[in-house]
Amino acid sequence: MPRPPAPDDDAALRWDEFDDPSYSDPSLSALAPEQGDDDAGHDAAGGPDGGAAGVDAAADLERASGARSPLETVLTALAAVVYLAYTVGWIIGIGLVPLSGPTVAIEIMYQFSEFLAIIAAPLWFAAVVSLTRDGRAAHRFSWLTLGTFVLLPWPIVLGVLA
Amino acid sequence: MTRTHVGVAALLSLLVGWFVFDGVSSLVGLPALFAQLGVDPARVPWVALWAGVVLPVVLYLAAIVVARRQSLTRFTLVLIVALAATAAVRLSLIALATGSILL
Repeated sequence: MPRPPAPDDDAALRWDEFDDPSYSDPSLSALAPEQGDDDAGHDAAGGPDGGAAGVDAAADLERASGARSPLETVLTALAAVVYLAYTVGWIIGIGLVPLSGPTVAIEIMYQFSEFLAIIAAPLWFAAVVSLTRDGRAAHRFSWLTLGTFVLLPWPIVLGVLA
Repeated sequence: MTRTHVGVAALLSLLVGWFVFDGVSSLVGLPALFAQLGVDPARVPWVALWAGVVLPVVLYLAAIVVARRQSLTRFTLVLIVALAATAAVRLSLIALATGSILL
Protein backbone atom coordinates (compact mmCIF):
# COMPACT_ATOMS: atom_id res chain seq x y z
CA MET A 1 0.00 0.00 0.00
CA PRO A 2 1.60 3.29 -1.07
CA ARG A 3 2.05 5.87 1.59
CA PRO A 4 0.15 9.12 1.12
CA PRO A 5 2.31 12.17 0.47
CA ALA A 6 3.29 14.08 3.53
CA PRO A 7 0.93 17.01 4.15
CA ASP A 8 2.38 20.40 3.40
CA ASP A 9 1.56 22.44 6.49
CA ASP A 10 2.72 25.69 4.92
CA ALA A 11 0.66 25.41 1.72
CA ALA A 12 -2.00 27.81 2.98
CA LEU A 13 0.64 30.41 3.77
CA ARG A 14 2.06 30.62 0.26
CA TRP A 15 0.63 32.29 -2.86
CA ASP A 16 2.15 30.14 -5.52
CA GLU A 17 -0.71 27.97 -6.78
CA PHE A 18 -0.50 28.34 -10.55
CA ASP A 19 -3.85 26.59 -11.02
CA ASP A 20 -5.58 29.25 -8.97
CA PRO A 21 -7.31 31.60 -11.49
CA SER A 22 -6.77 34.56 -9.18
CA TYR A 23 -3.04 34.02 -9.12
CA SER A 24 -0.98 36.55 -11.03
CA ASP A 25 2.72 36.44 -11.44
CA PRO A 26 4.20 39.92 -10.88
CA SER A 27 6.87 39.32 -13.52
CA LEU A 28 4.18 38.54 -16.13
CA SER A 29 1.78 41.30 -15.17
CA ALA A 30 4.50 43.87 -15.95
CA LEU A 31 4.30 42.77 -19.57
CA ALA A 32 0.52 42.82 -19.75
CA PRO A 33 0.03 46.19 -21.56
CA GLU A 34 2.18 45.06 -24.47
CA GLN A 35 0.88 41.53 -24.62
CA GLY A 36 -2.78 42.13 -23.83
CA ASP A 37 -5.24 41.75 -26.68
CA ASP A 38 -8.23 43.33 -24.96
CA ASP A 39 -9.71 46.71 -25.81
CA ALA A 40 -8.10 48.46 -22.87
CA GLY A 41 -4.67 47.35 -24.02
CA HIS A 42 -5.26 48.70 -27.52
CA ASP A 43 -6.65 51.94 -26.19
CA ALA A 44 -3.68 52.44 -23.93
CA ALA A 45 -1.28 51.92 -26.81
CA GLY A 46 -3.43 53.75 -29.33
CA GLY A 47 -3.27 57.18 -30.88
CA PRO A 48 -3.15 60.61 -29.29
CA ASP A 49 -6.52 60.12 -27.58
CA GLY A 50 -5.54 56.77 -26.23
CA GLY A 51 -5.54 58.11 -22.69
CA ALA A 52 -9.11 59.37 -22.92
CA ALA A 53 -10.23 56.15 -24.52
CA GLY A 54 -8.56 54.25 -21.74
CA VAL A 55 -10.47 56.31 -19.19
CA ASP A 56 -13.71 55.56 -21.06
CA ALA A 57 -12.93 51.88 -21.07
CA ALA A 58 -12.23 52.02 -17.35
CA ALA A 59 -15.54 53.80 -16.78
CA ASP A 60 -17.34 51.18 -18.85
CA LEU A 61 -15.66 48.45 -16.88
CA GLU A 62 -16.63 50.13 -13.63
CA ARG A 63 -20.23 50.54 -14.81
CA ALA A 64 -20.39 46.94 -15.99
CA SER A 65 -19.12 45.67 -12.69
CA GLY A 66 -21.85 47.61 -10.87
CA ALA A 67 -19.38 49.76 -8.95
CA ARG A 68 -20.67 53.21 -8.06
CA SER A 69 -19.06 56.27 -6.60
CA PRO A 70 -19.31 56.76 -2.84
CA LEU A 71 -21.25 60.01 -3.39
CA GLU A 72 -23.81 58.17 -5.48
CA THR A 73 -24.16 55.50 -2.83
CA VAL A 74 -24.61 58.09 -0.10
CA LEU A 75 -27.25 59.98 -2.12
CA THR A 76 -29.11 56.76 -2.84
CA ALA A 77 -29.06 55.89 0.86
CA LEU A 78 -30.32 59.39 1.67
CA ALA A 79 -33.16 58.93 -0.82
CA ALA A 80 -33.94 55.58 0.78
CA VAL A 81 -34.35 57.31 4.15
CA VAL A 82 -36.64 59.94 2.60
CA TYR A 83 -38.78 57.30 0.91
CA LEU A 84 -38.94 55.31 4.13
CA ALA A 85 -40.17 58.44 5.90
CA TYR A 86 -42.77 58.87 3.15
CA THR A 87 -43.96 55.31 3.74
CA VAL A 88 -44.37 55.97 7.45
CA GLY A 89 -46.09 59.25 6.59
CA TRP A 90 -48.59 57.46 4.37
CA ILE A 91 -49.27 54.78 7.01
CA ILE A 92 -50.13 57.57 9.47
CA GLY A 93 -51.81 59.74 6.84
CA ILE A 94 -54.26 57.02 5.82
CA GLY A 95 -55.92 57.39 9.20
CA LEU A 96 -56.31 61.13 8.67
CA VAL A 97 -58.42 60.63 5.53
CA PRO A 98 -61.57 58.91 6.74
CA LEU A 99 -63.03 57.19 3.70
CA SER A 100 -65.80 54.64 3.68
CA GLY A 101 -67.42 53.19 0.61
CA PRO A 102 -71.19 53.07 0.28
CA THR A 103 -71.01 49.48 -0.96
CA VAL A 104 -68.80 46.53 -0.11
CA ALA A 105 -67.18 46.57 -3.56
CA ILE A 106 -66.28 50.26 -3.32
CA GLU A 107 -65.07 49.77 0.26
CA ILE A 108 -62.78 46.98 -0.95
CA MET A 109 -61.42 49.27 -3.66
CA TYR A 110 -60.89 52.05 -1.12
CA GLN A 111 -58.92 49.68 1.10
CA PHE A 112 -56.92 48.44 -1.86
CA SER A 113 -56.08 51.96 -3.01
CA GLU A 114 -54.98 52.82 0.53
CA PHE A 115 -52.69 49.80 0.43
CA LEU A 116 -51.34 50.98 -2.92
CA ALA A 117 -50.68 54.44 -1.47
CA ILE A 118 -48.68 52.93 1.39
CA ILE A 119 -46.48 50.84 -0.91
CA ALA A 120 -46.13 53.60 -3.51
CA ALA A 121 -42.95 55.10 -2.05
CA PRO A 122 -40.99 51.85 -1.60
CA LEU A 123 -42.19 50.64 -5.00
CA TRP A 124 -41.07 53.85 -6.69
CA PHE A 125 -37.67 53.69 -5.00
CA ALA A 126 -37.15 50.02 -5.84
CA ALA A 127 -38.23 50.53 -9.44
CA VAL A 128 -35.95 53.53 -9.98
CA VAL A 129 -32.94 51.84 -8.39
CA SER A 130 -33.42 48.62 -10.34
CA LEU A 131 -34.17 50.30 -13.67
CA THR A 132 -31.25 52.74 -13.46
CA ARG A 133 -28.70 50.25 -12.19
CA ASP A 134 -26.76 50.33 -15.46
CA GLY A 135 -27.65 53.88 -16.37
CA ARG A 136 -26.36 57.31 -15.54
CA ALA A 137 -26.59 58.66 -12.03
CA ALA A 138 -28.41 61.77 -13.27
CA HIS A 139 -31.32 59.63 -14.46
CA ARG A 140 -31.59 57.87 -11.13
CA PHE A 141 -31.63 61.04 -9.08
CA SER A 142 -33.98 62.84 -11.44
CA TRP A 143 -36.57 60.10 -11.03
CA LEU A 144 -36.01 59.90 -7.28
CA THR A 145 -36.46 63.68 -7.00
CA LEU A 146 -39.64 63.55 -9.07
CA GLY A 147 -40.96 60.85 -6.75
CA THR A 148 -40.45 63.02 -3.69
CA PHE A 149 -42.81 65.59 -5.23
CA VAL A 150 -45.42 63.16 -6.55
CA LEU A 151 -45.59 60.98 -3.46
CA LEU A 152 -45.52 63.70 -0.80
CA PRO A 153 -47.99 62.53 1.89
CA TRP A 154 -50.28 65.55 1.84
CA PRO A 155 -52.72 64.17 4.45
CA ILE A 156 -50.06 64.25 7.14
CA VAL A 157 -48.54 67.50 5.81
CA LEU A 158 -51.93 69.18 6.05
CA GLY A 159 -52.44 67.61 9.46
CA VAL A 160 -49.17 69.07 10.70
CA LEU A 161 -49.94 72.48 9.16
CA ALA A 162 -53.39 72.50 10.73
CA MET B 1 -44.27 46.74 -27.50
CA THR B 2 -45.37 43.15 -27.89
CA ARG B 3 -48.90 41.81 -27.64
CA THR B 4 -48.13 40.72 -24.08
CA HIS B 5 -47.18 44.29 -23.21
CA VAL B 6 -50.48 45.50 -24.62
CA GLY B 7 -52.36 42.78 -22.72
CA VAL B 8 -50.75 43.72 -19.41
CA ALA B 9 -51.43 47.40 -20.06
CA ALA B 10 -55.07 46.61 -20.87
CA LEU B 11 -55.49 44.48 -17.76
CA LEU B 12 -54.03 47.09 -15.42
CA SER B 13 -56.02 49.83 -17.12
CA LEU B 14 -59.08 48.40 -15.36
CA LEU B 15 -57.70 49.88 -12.16
CA VAL B 16 -57.14 53.19 -13.94
CA GLY B 17 -60.79 53.01 -14.97
CA TRP B 18 -61.79 52.63 -11.35
CA PHE B 19 -59.69 55.64 -10.34
CA VAL B 20 -61.33 57.69 -13.10
CA PHE B 21 -64.77 56.50 -11.99
CA ASP B 22 -63.98 57.52 -8.42
CA GLY B 23 -62.72 60.89 -9.61
CA VAL B 24 -65.89 61.50 -11.62
CA SER B 25 -67.98 60.49 -8.61
CA SER B 26 -66.19 63.07 -6.50
CA LEU B 27 -66.49 65.66 -9.26
CA VAL B 28 -70.24 65.19 -9.25
CA GLY B 29 -70.82 64.44 -5.59
CA LEU B 30 -68.63 66.92 -3.73
CA PRO B 31 -70.20 70.11 -5.13
CA ALA B 32 -73.61 68.65 -4.21
CA LEU B 33 -72.33 67.89 -0.71
CA PHE B 34 -70.98 71.44 -0.40
CA ALA B 35 -74.38 72.79 -1.42
CA GLN B 36 -76.10 70.52 1.07
CA LEU B 37 -73.82 71.74 3.85
CA GLY B 38 -74.41 75.35 2.87
CA VAL B 39 -70.79 75.98 1.95
CA ASP B 40 -70.06 78.83 -0.42
CA PRO B 41 -69.97 77.34 -3.97
CA ALA B 42 -66.87 79.42 -4.68
CA ARG B 43 -64.99 77.20 -2.26
CA VAL B 44 -65.56 74.06 -4.31
CA PRO B 45 -62.03 72.74 -5.10
CA TRP B 46 -62.54 72.38 -8.82
CA VAL B 47 -58.82 72.02 -9.56
CA ALA B 48 -58.44 69.06 -7.20
CA LEU B 49 -61.65 67.49 -8.48
CA TRP B 50 -60.64 67.72 -12.13
CA ALA B 51 -57.14 66.56 -11.29
CA GLY B 52 -58.68 63.47 -9.73
CA VAL B 53 -60.25 62.66 -13.10
CA VAL B 54 -57.33 63.52 -15.36
CA LEU B 55 -54.24 62.48 -13.37
CA PRO B 56 -54.86 58.70 -13.34
CA VAL B 57 -54.92 58.67 -17.14
CA VAL B 58 -51.94 61.01 -17.45
CA LEU B 59 -49.78 59.01 -15.02
CA TYR B 60 -50.70 55.71 -16.66
CA LEU B 61 -49.99 56.94 -20.19
CA ALA B 62 -46.70 58.46 -19.03
CA ALA B 63 -45.73 55.12 -17.50
CA ILE B 64 -46.52 53.32 -20.76
CA VAL B 65 -44.42 55.80 -22.75
CA VAL B 66 -41.50 55.58 -20.32
CA ALA B 67 -41.45 51.78 -20.13
CA ARG B 68 -42.56 50.82 -23.62
CA ARG B 69 -39.10 49.56 -24.63
CA GLN B 70 -38.46 47.64 -21.41
CA SER B 71 -38.85 43.92 -20.84
CA LEU B 72 -42.27 42.65 -19.79
CA THR B 73 -41.27 42.40 -16.13
CA ARG B 74 -39.93 45.95 -16.00
CA PHE B 75 -42.88 47.24 -18.02
CA THR B 76 -45.31 45.69 -15.54
CA LEU B 77 -43.33 47.04 -12.60
CA VAL B 78 -43.45 50.58 -13.97
CA LEU B 79 -47.21 50.35 -14.58
CA ILE B 80 -47.79 49.09 -11.04
CA VAL B 81 -45.68 51.96 -9.72
CA ALA B 82 -47.84 54.36 -11.73
CA LEU B 83 -50.99 52.85 -10.23
CA ALA B 84 -49.55 53.09 -6.72
CA ALA B 85 -48.55 56.71 -7.35
CA THR B 86 -52.07 57.36 -8.63
CA ALA B 87 -53.52 55.97 -5.40
CA ALA B 88 -51.21 58.21 -3.35
CA VAL B 89 -52.03 61.29 -5.43
CA ARG B 90 -55.75 60.50 -5.15
CA LEU B 91 -55.58 60.46 -1.36
CA SER B 92 -53.58 63.69 -1.40
CA LEU B 93 -56.23 65.31 -3.58
CA ILE B 94 -58.98 64.09 -1.27
CA ALA B 95 -57.10 65.53 1.70
CA LEU B 96 -56.67 68.84 -0.11
CA ALA B 97 -60.30 68.95 -1.27
CA THR B 98 -61.93 67.97 2.01
CA GLY B 99 -59.46 70.10 3.93
CA SER B 100 -61.01 73.09 2.20
CA ILE B 101 -64.17 72.44 4.23
CA LEU B 102 -62.27 72.55 7.50
CA LEU B 103 -59.93 75.44 6.75
